[in-house]
Amino acid sequence: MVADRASDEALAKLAREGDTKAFEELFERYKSPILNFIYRLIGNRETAEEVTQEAFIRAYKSLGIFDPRKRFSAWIYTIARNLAKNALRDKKYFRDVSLEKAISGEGEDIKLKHVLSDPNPRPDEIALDEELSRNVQAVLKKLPAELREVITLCNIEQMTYKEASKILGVSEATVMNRLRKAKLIFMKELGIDTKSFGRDKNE
Amino acid sequence: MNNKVLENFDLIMANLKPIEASPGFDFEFRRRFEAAVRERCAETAFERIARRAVETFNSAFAPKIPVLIRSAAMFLILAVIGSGIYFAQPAKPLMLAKAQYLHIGSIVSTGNLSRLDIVLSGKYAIRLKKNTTLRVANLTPRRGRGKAVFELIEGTMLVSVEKGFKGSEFFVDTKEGSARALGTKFAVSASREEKITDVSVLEGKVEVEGGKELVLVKAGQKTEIPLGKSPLVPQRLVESEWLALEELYQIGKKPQVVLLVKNTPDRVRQLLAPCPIYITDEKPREIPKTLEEALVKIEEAIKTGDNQKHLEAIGLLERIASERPEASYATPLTLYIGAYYSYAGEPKKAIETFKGFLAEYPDSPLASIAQAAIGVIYEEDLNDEAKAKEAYSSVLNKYPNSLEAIWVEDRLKIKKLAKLPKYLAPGRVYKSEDDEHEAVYRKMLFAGRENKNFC
Repeated sequence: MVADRASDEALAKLAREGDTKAFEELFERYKSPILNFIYRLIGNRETAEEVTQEAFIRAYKSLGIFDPRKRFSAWIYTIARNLAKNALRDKKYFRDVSLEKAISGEGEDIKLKHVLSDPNPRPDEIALDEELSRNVQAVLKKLPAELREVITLCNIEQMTYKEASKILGVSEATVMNRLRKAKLIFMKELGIDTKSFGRDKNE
Repeated sequence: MNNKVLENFDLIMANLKPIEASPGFDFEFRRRFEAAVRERCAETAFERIARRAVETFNSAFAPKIPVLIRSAAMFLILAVIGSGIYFAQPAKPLMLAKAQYLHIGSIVSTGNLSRLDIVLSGKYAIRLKKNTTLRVANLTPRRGRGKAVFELIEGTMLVSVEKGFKGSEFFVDTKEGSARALGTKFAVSASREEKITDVSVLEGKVEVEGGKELVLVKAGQKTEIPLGKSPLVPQRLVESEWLALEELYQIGKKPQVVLLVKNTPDRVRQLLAPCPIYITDEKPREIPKTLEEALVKIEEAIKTGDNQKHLEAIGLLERIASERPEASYATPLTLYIGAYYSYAGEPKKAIETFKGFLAEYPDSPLASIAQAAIGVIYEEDLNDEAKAKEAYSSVLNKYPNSLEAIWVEDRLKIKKLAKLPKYLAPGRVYKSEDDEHEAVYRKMLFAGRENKNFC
């Protein structure tokens, strides 16, 4: 039996009318994806947590302007994205925070290259591999912000092009193009030859 | 091979280990969230205040008109709205623009979609409504005893004569008669078709002459002058006429402290809600800085719900009002203090404040509100019917033309008929043989609801 779960938009409407429990429920649903999204963008856990909390507080304060006919997820992601961009611009944010060690140069990203080249990679192993996750983050950090965004939304968060386009405020075609470009640069960073890459299977 | 790499890439990304929030993450969020919830509850009161302030202010007051100083012989057009305005002197129509001069003999007309404000700073302000034609008949030079005479050929004009024009004379002539202002706010309408002139007075008095007869029209009254006849006996304004005159507050010098109440008979209810008080940014600034301190105190009081803080805020406001009782902000501020006392659960102090207002400002246009407020507080907060009745009677006797008189009359009528058998409870629909009886019950049902428009 499937439990009767209120939609995000219904909860947002209740929260707007003063139901704090409804907003807490929304927080529970989205805190992890938003935290990860922001972390992938800015690459620092501590700052990502701070920005995540700020995103939800801003969302709460702005409930009056949220249109329940639109998707709550797109709205909270947009707020999170904007705050993450501000955080990246604002060097103050990172001044006293220890930056994760960036992986650069040959030898340190061999594991990632190896997994990418593996004809039979195992998803369950990938999911448990922290080192691999750090490798990915390190390479992601080298990408321009707008390319990082599309990889995070489409590949990591598994959003459709349509969903991502709403958050980024661009067309689906732009999302597709950026994603292609993001993957090529990602591979180049790892020293993988991209000359004969076919089209993305999702296109 | 390369497609396989891309596939692996997608696989890696889809199965990437997510980061977990640190142990203190939820706790920290809840702390911030609770603070935001508290802030939102406090904001809600202010948002309501702001919303009501904006709604009422927008309907009662227009945006500021810039004020310029010119000689008595000519003045600038200060606000031109719409495009159908013509300037004929002697008979050559031109388009009028802001910052244009008018002279004696000028004729100004507004079209169907326009209006015009003419202001002599500190002296008087005139608004021509749509389809109005006005001629500048006479303006004496500054050196002499000032005299301004306008001929209203057709249409409606609103006039606000300021204190600075005291000692001078202001006339509006029409075909039917003439109105002389005695320091006041009033409106004159002249209809060519019906051959009749109306004069309605909001504040002060106007002496109206027609057919060699003179009548004095007081605040809250109007008269009509048919062509070739004497002015009719002044009658009390009805509610719609009061509302139409509200526009008079948009012209001329605006006060720095404004009580945001609409000019409807239930003004006293609006005041006691309590109504918001609006501080304009009219210059030169009279209101002292202590008011900011009082506003901070009020904010604290609302946030904490601490009645003691409300009383402290009232104390600060009283100090401001008593320091300069002659200042223009003192009257609205004193009324506000009375309403605030009532709100803070101090009805006796509220009555004391309103009585003090009547003693200090017996001729104020707001006096009728203070008198009616005394009645309401005796009746509803102190359950003293005898004193309430006395206060209401004073409204009818001393301020017969006021909006409060209309309100009190209605109230007393309803209360008379309200002494009916107990089984006839308000809120239920009864079949009555007497239509008037049922109509009064419906009215009582409406009047019985508390006016909580403030929150």
